[in-house]
Amino acid sequence: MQRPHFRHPRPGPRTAGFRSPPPAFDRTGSMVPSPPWAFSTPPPPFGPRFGQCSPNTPPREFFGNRGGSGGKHFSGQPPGHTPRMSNPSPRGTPYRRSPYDNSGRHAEHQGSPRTSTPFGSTHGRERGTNDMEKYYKPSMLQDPWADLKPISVTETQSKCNSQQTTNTGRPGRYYN
Amino acid sequence: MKIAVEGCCHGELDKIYESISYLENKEGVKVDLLLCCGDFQAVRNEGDMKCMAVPPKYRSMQTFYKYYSGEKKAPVLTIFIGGNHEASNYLQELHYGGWVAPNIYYMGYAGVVRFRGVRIGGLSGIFKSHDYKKGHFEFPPYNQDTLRSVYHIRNIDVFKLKQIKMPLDVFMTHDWPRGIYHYGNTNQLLHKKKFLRQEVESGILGSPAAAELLEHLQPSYWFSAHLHVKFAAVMQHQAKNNASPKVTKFLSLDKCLPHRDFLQIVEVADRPGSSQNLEYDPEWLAILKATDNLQKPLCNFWNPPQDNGLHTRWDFSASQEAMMEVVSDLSGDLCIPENFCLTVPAYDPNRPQPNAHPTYCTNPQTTELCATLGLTDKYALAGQGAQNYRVEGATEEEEDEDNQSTGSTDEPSEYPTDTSVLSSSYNPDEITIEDEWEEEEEGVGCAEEKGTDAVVPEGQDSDRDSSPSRETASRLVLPPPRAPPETEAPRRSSLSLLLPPPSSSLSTSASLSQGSSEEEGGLTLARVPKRTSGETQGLPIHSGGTPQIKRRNQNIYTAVEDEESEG
Repeated sequence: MQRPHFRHPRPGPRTAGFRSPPPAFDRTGSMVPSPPWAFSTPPPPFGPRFGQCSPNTPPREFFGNRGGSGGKHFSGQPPGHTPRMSNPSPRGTPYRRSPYDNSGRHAEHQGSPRTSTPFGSTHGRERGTNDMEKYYKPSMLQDPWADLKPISVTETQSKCNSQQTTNTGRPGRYYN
Repeated sequence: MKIAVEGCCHGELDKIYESISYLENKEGVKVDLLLCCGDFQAVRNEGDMKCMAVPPKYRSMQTFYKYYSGEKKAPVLTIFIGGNHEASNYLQELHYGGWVAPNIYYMGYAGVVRFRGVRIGGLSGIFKSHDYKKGHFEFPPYNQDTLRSVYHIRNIDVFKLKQIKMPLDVFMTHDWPRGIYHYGNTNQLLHKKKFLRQEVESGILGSPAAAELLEHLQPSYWFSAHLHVKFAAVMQHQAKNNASPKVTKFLSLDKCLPHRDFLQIVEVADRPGSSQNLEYDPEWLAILKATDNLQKPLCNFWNPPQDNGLHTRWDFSASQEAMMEVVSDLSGDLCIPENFCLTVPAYDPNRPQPNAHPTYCTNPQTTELCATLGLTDKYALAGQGAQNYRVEGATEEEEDEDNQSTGSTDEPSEYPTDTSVLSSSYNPDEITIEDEWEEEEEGVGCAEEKGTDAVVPEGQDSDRDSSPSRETASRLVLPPPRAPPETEAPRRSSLSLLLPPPSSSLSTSASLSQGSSEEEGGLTLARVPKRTSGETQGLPIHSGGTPQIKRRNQNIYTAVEDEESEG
């Protein structure tokens, strides 16, 4: 669930570059009429509606509530355990919003790149940082529609086949 | 608010969330919502993995199970639709939508939700014409046909979405609306994906159902994935009712791999005073209530009601009164309850259970929603009544599109790209070269040659109920389907064209095949099944090698469509 106390930072010079159109209008061009539910005030606080389980119920507690008849099939691992996988994550704890911080870990491996680490010479935490750099692209925050102009449906109708869902797009053939 | 949009997830939740966190820290931004456009792979355990249409050698548990078990928690509210690589058994439980894990919400077969006043809609699956008119009849354990048909879009869901009258801000489909590629840089697209040229130029790439919805809904944003390429388009719709023409910004994204365009941050204006929690959408729920009785979970074709003098009602849009009734049903609280709870054990890497069977049971979230709104749990109905409905519903006629079915391919054929050096697991790119899952004309058997999938080998019905025993008082654990009487087998064999006799009644798709006329007494034509017969689920290897007889004149054998809307 959202972090309720987080305050969204005001857009600044570093904010990604574009904004959406104003709130939607209906097809007559006027604002959508506001029924009571449409843009309501925040709802009253509420807890889990059905007390049987909550999103934060750890697996063991949940299974305990269920009577434990299936207990033998369930993991006994603590929630924080991250099993070692072929692609070890530098994080061994439950995921937090804390910055992806490898600076401390880097400090452990200063010096020769051949310094051995628990994960081998080039694997593990150093590689983790490089991984995220590989996944990141500046274009992720750039407007993908910036260089595009709206193209009208009428301009392209001649290009498109008839888009009937029952139209297979292939000519019928007759048995001869 | 900032919405992160992700293309195909393929279970790479760790990487996606890490990427978002990295981006947030690097750029000094805060992401409020993550939208994932399918192939989410909400695989909880080994049993779920067998309900995913992926060849065994590419199957990998990936990382979702950690979020399911509670080991990790999604750092940002995540909403996703289904694609063509999903733990279909799990998603079917939540066919009206629901939490698959804390803070991760699945939209169901189709759905609309609201977040901070922004209306977000979605349609799960990919389009395949030969399954489009069927009900959601599939039920695990799946056979080789239902393993795939389960994620094929159905006209009932498109019909429901077409009842929406109020504007949508965002809409998601896994495959592309057909024709959208003409509204962007088509040349650049074809430069990136040369193999799409013929389909683009023929205008057959993409989903016609999604195209219909795009024309009807005209949302501000439309996000898709499936083709593993980033493509942007801006479509200006035809003006309606003297209003200014609306514009839809379309964006498709890639899958989560290094150096790929799998993520995009989009700024969408939220509405002041709106709830900070994920909310139900009253218009959508009112439509669900109004259309609840329209279709049964049958494999027979269903035709939506039209204004043609044959139906008493064809407009199921939500009136103000209907929406107020929904609000009343919810006791005035539109927030989606945080009622996720584990229903099956999560994968334990220290204690793997490779022989685990898929579970099939109702989900308490769906049970609760159905009770609140008076809806039918169609998934439970499919499981309980599949046997009976196959017999009763046989009088429905079907339009035969066996050899002319179109739709989105399961995987876009493309060059084997450089896979992640980090992952030695499932690589969809390789699958596109080796497998031809949806090549119905050739009847090529897929790579799933082992009977350890969700395909249940013959004679093992008794093993199906091997899920751990636990309290079921509050949930319905559905009994395993029964096998048909053996006396039917010889009759089917006389009509089967080079196909082995059926081994089980699980093959609901068999109603399209040659055996149905005798079994169900309604169909008068024996047709060659378009694909490998679902009746051969117990013999996947043989069915894979069975030649398909192709007729060139299926049209003249097409039975008259039944005009009734009752499915």
